Amino acid sequence: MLKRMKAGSIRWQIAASAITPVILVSLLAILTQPLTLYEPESLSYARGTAVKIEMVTEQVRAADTPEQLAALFAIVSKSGLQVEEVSTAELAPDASLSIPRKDARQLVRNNLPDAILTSFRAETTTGKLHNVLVVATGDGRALAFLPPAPPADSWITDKQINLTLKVMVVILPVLLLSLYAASMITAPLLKFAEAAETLKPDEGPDRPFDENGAAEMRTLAKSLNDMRSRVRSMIEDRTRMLRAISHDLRTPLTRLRLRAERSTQPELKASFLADIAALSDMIDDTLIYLSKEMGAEKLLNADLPSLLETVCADFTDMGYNVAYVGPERFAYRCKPRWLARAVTNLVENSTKFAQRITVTLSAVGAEVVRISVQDDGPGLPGNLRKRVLEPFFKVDTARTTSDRTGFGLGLSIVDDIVRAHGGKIELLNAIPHGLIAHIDLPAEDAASVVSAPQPKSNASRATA
Amino acid sequence: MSAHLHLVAPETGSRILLVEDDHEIASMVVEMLSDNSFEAIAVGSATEMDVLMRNQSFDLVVLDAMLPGEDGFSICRRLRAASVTPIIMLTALKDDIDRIIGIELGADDYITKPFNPRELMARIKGLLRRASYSTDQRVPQSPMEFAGWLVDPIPRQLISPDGVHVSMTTAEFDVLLAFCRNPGRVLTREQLLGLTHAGLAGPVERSIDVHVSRVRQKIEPNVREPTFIKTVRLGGYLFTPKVENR
Repeated sequence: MLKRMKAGSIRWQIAASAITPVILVSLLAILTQPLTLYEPESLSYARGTAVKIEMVTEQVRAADTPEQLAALFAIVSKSGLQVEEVSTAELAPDASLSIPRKDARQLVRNNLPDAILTSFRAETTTGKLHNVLVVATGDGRALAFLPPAPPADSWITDKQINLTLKVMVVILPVLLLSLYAASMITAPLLKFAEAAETLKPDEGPDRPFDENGAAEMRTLAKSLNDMRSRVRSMIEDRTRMLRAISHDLRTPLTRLRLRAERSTQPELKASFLADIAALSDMIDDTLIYLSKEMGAEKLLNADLPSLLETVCADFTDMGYNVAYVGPERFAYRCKPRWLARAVTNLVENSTKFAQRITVTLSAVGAEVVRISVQDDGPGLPGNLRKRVLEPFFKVDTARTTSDRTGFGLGLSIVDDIVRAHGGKIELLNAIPHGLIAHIDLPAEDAASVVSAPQPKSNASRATA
Repeated sequence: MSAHLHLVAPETGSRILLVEDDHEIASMVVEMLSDNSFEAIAVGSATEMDVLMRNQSFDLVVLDAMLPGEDGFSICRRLRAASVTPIIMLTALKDDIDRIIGIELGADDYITKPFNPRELMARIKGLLRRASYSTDQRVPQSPMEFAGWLVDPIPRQLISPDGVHVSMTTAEFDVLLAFCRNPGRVLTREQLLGLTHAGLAGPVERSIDVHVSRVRQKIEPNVREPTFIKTVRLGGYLFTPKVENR
């Protein structure tokens, strides 16, 4: 219980710790109240009526003249308790009558002193009243009383209502105050959480946490702001370092490249140039992976088919067999350079294992647009298909048909870019062989992608 | 070495200043430029450059972005404020932002390290040729518009009449830029090759026709009957839309 409370909201913890003592005090007060408090209305009525009856019998004894007696009866009857004089014979107990315990007369009689002789009568021989309580006056006379109908017992007495109201007057303000105090204390915390949630390490204000309010909150905000400054300067340091490394690595590479160009041995020159290109690509991949400056490119309304055709064209110009299949026009809101980089990395990966590569644009349902890169290579066993997306993971180099290897960052960059676009990537094996990479991106108007089944060949468009 | 470069008369004898702090790279580039009949001088820092520029003039400056002391971007801004001498930036970062910043600062072209020396030569020659045009023809860095399409040379963007960004390869964009700068004029394949750096990027040399057909694929309303880029029999290509500078 305590453990659960500690894990709960601070707001409720504060509220609870403020309210609990107040409730305990009020409970204590209620419990120590005299038990009579719980007397129902019927009991107080019975006692009241009994006292009245005693008083009436006393005054009847004291009355000297029949006139006085008549006047007394008239006054008493007006108060609701009807009374008349009956013969003392009526005082004899009538065994044939059984009066329920809850009857008003029974309750009244219980409250009369035992010394007073009483009996119940349905009818009296001399009087006009029915269902009466006959009481001996003690001086040889008898009176028949018809008590007024007792009030119904309610589930709560007036006194209880009174007490409850009193307790409420104490508890309610405390309750409201403590709730207000709790939310006042916790509101900045929630604001901090929100600020931290939306925080971008390299953008936005310098000190995003509001350094106002309670002393502890100010301290917390200050340390959060300081931490953010440290993170920011760390990122700046890293960016500076990356630029420096990049520059320092490229200078000797440029030297190598220039030297290689002067080589008189064509084979040596070609292998030099290939190695230099591979090294350069590795530096690019590392920088892209580490910098993650995807935020730098704005979201644009870009034509996906032209983007994919451009990627394919860049590869066909390098001598690879890469074809685009899909619609001619489809505008999609994305970061086109990054999306092109993702597709380029996938195609590049395929060129290492396969001869023919097809890039397809299609719609999956009404809200997903799919870019697929399919090759005719050996494909990948299931356990590797997930792992190739991990950074620095490399499939055994013996599987490659070329000697171009990188750091194993290419596909993790693809994964990052696709996820930044709110999409997901899936790798599948093609039948009979080959690898298919599906990039599924959310799109509101995916249905407007009407797939053109015929691949565009150079022959069909070169005619003019 | 691709044959087409010889079709364009090299601007022989032009004076080129190379600002590069790595001596070996500098000496190799200078040697290559000299082999191509340029007069090239290399300096290692902004201070040396300033001393040299006080009493000499150059037709083109090749500027390394990372230099000891004042960096290349700052030098570029300073040079551009004082003169119209063409500037090529050598950047170590393949970072697009750096390239664009370099051009916004006034650089006319950029090339990333490690660069292909032939590409550097082609870009130097291209810039010198453009610099020899009158100033009117040399304002091609401003955005141009044809038939609702917007061609923006600095971020190298093509935007359709619907406001959609259309991607292009470097060669395709160069071809389109060449067309936009010469509307209503027949451009031969040789001229197009000269105006673009097409074919330098990869080992497979594509004919200019391939690039033209790809451009058509992206901009023509009907690819089968092109109306924007018309083929002129035995001549080359003609760009028909009216082009407006913006």
